[in-house]
Amino acid sequence: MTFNEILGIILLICLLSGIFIGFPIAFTLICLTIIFGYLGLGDMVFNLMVFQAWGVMNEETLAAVPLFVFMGYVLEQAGMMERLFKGFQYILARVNGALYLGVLFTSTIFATATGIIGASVTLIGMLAGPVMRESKYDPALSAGAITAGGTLGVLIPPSILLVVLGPVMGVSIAKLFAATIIPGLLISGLFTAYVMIRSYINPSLGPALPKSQHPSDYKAAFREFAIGMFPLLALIAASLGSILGGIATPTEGAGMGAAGALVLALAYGRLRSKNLRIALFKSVLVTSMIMLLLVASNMYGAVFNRLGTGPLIADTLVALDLSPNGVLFALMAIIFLLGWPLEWAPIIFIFLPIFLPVITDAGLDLLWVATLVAVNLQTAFLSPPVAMAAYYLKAVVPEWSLVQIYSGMFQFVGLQVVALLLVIMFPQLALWLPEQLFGN
Amino acid sequence: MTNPSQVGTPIEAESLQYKDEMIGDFGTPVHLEDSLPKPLAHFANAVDRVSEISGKLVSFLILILVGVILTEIFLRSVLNAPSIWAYDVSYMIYGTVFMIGSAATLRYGGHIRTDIFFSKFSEITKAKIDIFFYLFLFIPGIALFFWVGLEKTIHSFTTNEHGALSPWRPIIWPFRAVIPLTAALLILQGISEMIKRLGAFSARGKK
Repeated sequence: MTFNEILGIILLICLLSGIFIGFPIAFTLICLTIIFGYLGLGDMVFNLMVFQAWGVMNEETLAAVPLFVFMGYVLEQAGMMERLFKGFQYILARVNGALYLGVLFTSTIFATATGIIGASVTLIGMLAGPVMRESKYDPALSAGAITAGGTLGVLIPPSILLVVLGPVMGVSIAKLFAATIIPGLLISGLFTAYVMIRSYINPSLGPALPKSQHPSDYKAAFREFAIGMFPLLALIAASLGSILGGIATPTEGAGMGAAGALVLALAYGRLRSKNLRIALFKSVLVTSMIMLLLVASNMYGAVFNRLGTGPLIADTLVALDLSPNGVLFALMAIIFLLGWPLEWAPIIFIFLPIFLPVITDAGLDLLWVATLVAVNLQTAFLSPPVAMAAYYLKAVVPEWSLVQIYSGMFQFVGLQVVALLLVIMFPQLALWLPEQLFGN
Repeated sequence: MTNPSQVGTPIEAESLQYKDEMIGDFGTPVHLEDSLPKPLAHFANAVDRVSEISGKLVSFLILILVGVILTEIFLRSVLNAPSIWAYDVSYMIYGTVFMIGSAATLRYGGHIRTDIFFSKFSEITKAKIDIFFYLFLFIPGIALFFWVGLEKTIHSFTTNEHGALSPWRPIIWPFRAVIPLTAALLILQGISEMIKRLGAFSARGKK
């Protein structure tokens, strides 16, 4: 090993220590990269870092990120979720597990309309938590449905995770959107089947709602439901539909989505200047957090590779000569384990690029692997102890203990692993739709 | 120093509300301890305000971005005459938004950190870790970023550099200037974060 390669390994160790001590990840990357880059490469490292930042700033596709985030916040403030959930709750009132179904259906549709990640757990928790407690729903299963449903937005397009995962894996964002739709709906379907079976076998877990909460006039109930549902479906068609149809780029689709969300908010009379400013400001913070991490990881990646350590690790892994299946299972296991202590962003930005050469070398289909990575990372949101979803929910429904919330989440993590295995065994679940839409 | 009637100006009253509602479950801002020496506290306060305002200013650019995209879609699909500027304006707005917004994100504690251990440390330990981080890594690193970014901006200005990504070829130096501006805002906010962390020590002194 050369001096520079060893330097790169020390950089990686320092980086991991810094991350686990709790330094903000983006700046740890930037600053350590400068120090080690300067030691190994000299002055050129300074130009390299500005060059990398400049590269990310010039990436027009990534302009979709602030737009999708903004669209999500506007829809949230327009009360779309409330409307959907109330609608489902009303028309499903006679069914066992009505509220579980309401939570899961609402989350699935909302996930298809927006790209934000964490916030929807809070919102659906606020809406559904109190009702579920009153109706004597099982706390663990309720918490599981809320947290699992809330994190569907991570996987179901349009999702910011997919917008940044695409470029890292070198697959087109539109194709990745198409590839994750069926797995996303599959997971949502598994969740739904699970809660229905559980509440059918043991109705005390999730009883049908009492007579007083049944709609007296089903026609009126359905009309109310349609008023909440159809504009949202139209919006989904305009943003996601136009991207998948190949009419619009992801940025254009996101722009139309944002504009459509504003129109919806206006139509429902919920577009107040203060709400709008809050949505805009939050969008800036979320975008900044993600994109700065991308800038930082690109700087780090450039230096890590130039020091020769990146290629060294890649060569070593390739030399192990694992079978494609071996590579895939190792990758999935590593991401699953990293998902416990780490958030999705450092996994995508720091660890995935290290393994990318091995994945390519094994001849695996990158689009398929990217889909598996996304499914796997969604699980990370649900796996305790560092599962943000649990804390979001605990904050809005303090009556549920963390133990109950965790036990509910574990049940849904199990379902996600089933889905992951299904997509591994049947790659067509991910690859069929992109082939239909975009050919090869 | 701060008399209540001054605090009640519209902008300030508004940003106080923002503090509660805007962030929701986003980030973990460090609070300013009362026990800090007055000049330090005032400085940190002023810097926080600068970061907040810069974040709010760029947030309106998102609306403009939506407008630009809609205009482009209209020009292209209805009039069949795509503009030559929409592409450049799009990435310039997006680049400006996330770069300048990073100081506000720092002020609200929004840049993610792994809190598996950090959240269990005492306030004093957190303060020591953060002060070490800002003093020895953050400020020197971002200062270099500022310096090189500034050089590139000046170079771009003196050579009258034009964009090369589209036929529009706009002048590039104002967009280049976003890098040193971001770095300057970040350094200021980093100092403010350090001061706020010092509060852990002054609060202990009071007890």
